[in-house]
Amino acid sequence: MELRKMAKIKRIEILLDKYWKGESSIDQEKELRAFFSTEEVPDHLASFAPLFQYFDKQGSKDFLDKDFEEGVLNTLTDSEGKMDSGERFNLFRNVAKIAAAFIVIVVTVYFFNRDRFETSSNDLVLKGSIENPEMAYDEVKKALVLISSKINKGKDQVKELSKMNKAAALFNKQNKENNK
Amino acid sequence: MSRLADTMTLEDFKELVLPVKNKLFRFALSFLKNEEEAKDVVQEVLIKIWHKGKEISFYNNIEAWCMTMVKNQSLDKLKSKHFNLPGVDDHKEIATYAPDPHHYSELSDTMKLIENTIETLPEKQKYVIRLRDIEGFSYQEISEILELDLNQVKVNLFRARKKIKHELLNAEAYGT
Repeated sequence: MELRKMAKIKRIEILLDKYWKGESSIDQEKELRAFFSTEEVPDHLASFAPLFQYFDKQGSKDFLDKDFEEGVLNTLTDSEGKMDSGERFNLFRNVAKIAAAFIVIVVTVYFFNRDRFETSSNDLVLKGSIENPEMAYDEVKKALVLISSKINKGKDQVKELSKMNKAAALFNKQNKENNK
Repeated sequence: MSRLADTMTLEDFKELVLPVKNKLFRFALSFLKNEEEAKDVVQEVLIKIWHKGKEISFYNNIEAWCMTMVKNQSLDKLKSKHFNLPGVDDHKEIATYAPDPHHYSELSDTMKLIENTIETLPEKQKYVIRLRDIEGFSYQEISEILELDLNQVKVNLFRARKKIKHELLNAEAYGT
């Protein structure tokens, strides 16, 4: 029993020496921490005990409790839900994009074809004029009335001129008689 | 970790990631010196890891990966703090850090001396000795987390331990 303890202490001395030289492995350092925290430490090593006890204590300290864990897990599952709705929104956006492109194509095709149908089936002259025949008739009538009134005005002027002709004829006649 | 083929289930997360939370918290605290902020950082990192679950199989070491994320997130937080409070320097922040009194009273005088010694070590030594002696990371992992080469890790660890040994022997010689 005594011998085993001495062997253990010898081993710890060797490990400590390695530790200070920076040559100890992680497992050997674990062994040191375990030794100094659990076993009876001989006097000549006692001054280093608090160091390994300190490391052990700090390393096993539970700072963050179950509440923290639950908080994190709740946030994770919450944001999962948000991700889903985000994906759904993306899906909606893609569908909307395709639908918008489809509508644009349909509308353009429709307008192109409408233009072509109209130019082929209707007379070019009528394009853009009144389509209701009665209204067109009225319009034409109005236009003709306007023209005829202007023509009559012109005719009155011409009647005045015909008086001049009469006078000129009379003058010519007298001239001829004088020459005779 | 190879069993994490491509996605991480909630069970994987509970089993592999959540148990690291205290290590992550201690690491964040060592940067931020503020328990609430450290808690926030750990929470943010855990949530990020969950969403990056698909990438996780590419990292052979989840713990080291989480620690690196905590470091980056903490440094970001510190940077934004500095931005908000221009003129606040590192020393002032260390000076205003008051560890929770309950935690402090649990420690013996020698442990307080050890804690103070570690706290006042140069940055690299401080983080290396914490990651090795408290958290139990390998040299390789520490070099990944802190982005130092292996030799730097070993040298800084050696110096930190030497300093602590010196303080302990001094305390023993002169009484605390």
